[in-house]
Amino acid sequence: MKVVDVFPGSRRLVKGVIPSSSLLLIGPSGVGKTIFCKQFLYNGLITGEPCIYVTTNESPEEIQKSMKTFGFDVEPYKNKKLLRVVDGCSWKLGRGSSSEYSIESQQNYLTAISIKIKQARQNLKNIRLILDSISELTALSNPESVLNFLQILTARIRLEGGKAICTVASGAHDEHFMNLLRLIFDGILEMKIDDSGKEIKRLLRIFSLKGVKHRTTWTPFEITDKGIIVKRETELRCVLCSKLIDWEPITQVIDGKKYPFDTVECLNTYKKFKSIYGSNFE
Amino acid sequence: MSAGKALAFHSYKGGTGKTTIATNLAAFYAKIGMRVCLLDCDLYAPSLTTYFRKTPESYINNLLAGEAEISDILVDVSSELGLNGKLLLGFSSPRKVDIHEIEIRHDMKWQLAALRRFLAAKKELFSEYKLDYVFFDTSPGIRYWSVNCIAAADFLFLTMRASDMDIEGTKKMIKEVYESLTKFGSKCFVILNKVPGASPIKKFQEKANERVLLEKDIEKSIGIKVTGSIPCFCDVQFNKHEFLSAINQPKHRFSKNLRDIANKINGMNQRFQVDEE
Repeated sequence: MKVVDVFPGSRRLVKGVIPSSSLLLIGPSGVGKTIFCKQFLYNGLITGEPCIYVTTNESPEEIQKSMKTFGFDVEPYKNKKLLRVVDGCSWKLGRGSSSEYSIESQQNYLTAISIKIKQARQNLKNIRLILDSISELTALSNPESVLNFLQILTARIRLEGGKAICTVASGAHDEHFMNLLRLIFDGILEMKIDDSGKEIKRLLRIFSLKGVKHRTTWTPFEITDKGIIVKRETELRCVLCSKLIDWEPITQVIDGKKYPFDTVECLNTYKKFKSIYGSNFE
Repeated sequence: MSAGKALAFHSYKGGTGKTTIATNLAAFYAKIGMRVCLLDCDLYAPSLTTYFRKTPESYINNLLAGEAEISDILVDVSSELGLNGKLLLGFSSPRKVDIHEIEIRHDMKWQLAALRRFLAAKKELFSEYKLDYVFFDTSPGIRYWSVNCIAAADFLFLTMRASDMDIEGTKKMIKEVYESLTKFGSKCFVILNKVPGASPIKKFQEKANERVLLEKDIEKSIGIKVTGSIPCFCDVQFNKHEFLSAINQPKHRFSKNLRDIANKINGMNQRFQVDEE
């Protein structure tokens, strides 16, 4: 019954429950968008949510292999058909696909992808879906059709109580397309690389997310052998429960000393214990 | 709907039926679709592992020692009991060596660290498991971990019998411990248990309103509101499955009285009321 993030760092960056939504993940090539999506998908699988991976640039075998390097073993879920891959990549390699939801050719590409997603969604509820990437779709179909396709997809996800992340490469599209794209999604996640220092820093932020309170500051993250780890900016702990305080601390002066608390409840509980144990409770 | 609440079940002396009431309430709430966690916080004399016949991998003792997370100690009994909601159980170790260890670990530094882990775990139960209630079934009397549990709770339910010893002992405990807690937001109530009057022999049966008058009497004597009272039923008390009478025997008077108490507690938290079956 281990509790996991919806997406890497979500419990630190989002206050409350993330509603059914489709998120747009924008970032430069190599920043970590694909691994972020894979981790989002795996976190869904281990909490019992069926998942659909729509891929345009990795074959199902490559996906499975790369996920395994981070400790995300999806084989059991694939066998139980809880993970379904819509393969929009293998045709490019000139070979057949191991997925039953594969695209044969470039012809009517978006229509074919829509049909395969519909087939993959059969008998599934509350799905997680990733689409990696929108940029590849625009290479094979006109931008207007891609926007229409995404509008229908995101509406469906929202209606059916699911969650989705779609990736797009920053700098690969004009401003007009990006503005229209942003309007379609319920939330925008952004990634960037800061190479101004000695070492490369990877940063993530939630630019927008409807329906829930969230941080908007750039937060550093690392790609480790266990996937993406989102770091903390400060290490302030609640005096009562020792939990790292993610949001604004509640501070109170008690016996001349200032203490930070995570919640009002923590503060009141601290006062209760102080009243019982006196100075022994520090 | 209001946020989840922690309820501690405590008593001055043992044998008041605290564990029976706590477990039956937890099971009843889970039966009607609520999400509940029941922690056996009677570290000195745990009973729930025996009753539920579970040998979990980790106990509350391990959590307090920093050896386990809350997710490691929880056992989900919802489907095996046919519950519409969720009932998660956390057990204390019945092993003599573990009970002894918790008794003699007087080092304040260790105890405070253990207390902090307990409080962090309580927080996680509400934030991650979306529970309606967390129940602490505590040890009787003023023992270190009983006091910790009642201080950590939002609502305190003192179970007692209507005997002179229980009344006087409870009054003392309220003055020495509870008053300081209610100053900082804890809400305290009494549940009268094993009240005479449920006898099949007519001359020993309770008269109309007798229990209501008794409740008012106790309230006046102790100075704390009585949430409800439950007559003494030998067939429940000495039943092998006394802890789950509320779901196994829903038509029994015990279960009806318990349902009344459950509704009152839900009313305090602005939750829905349940009609009689």
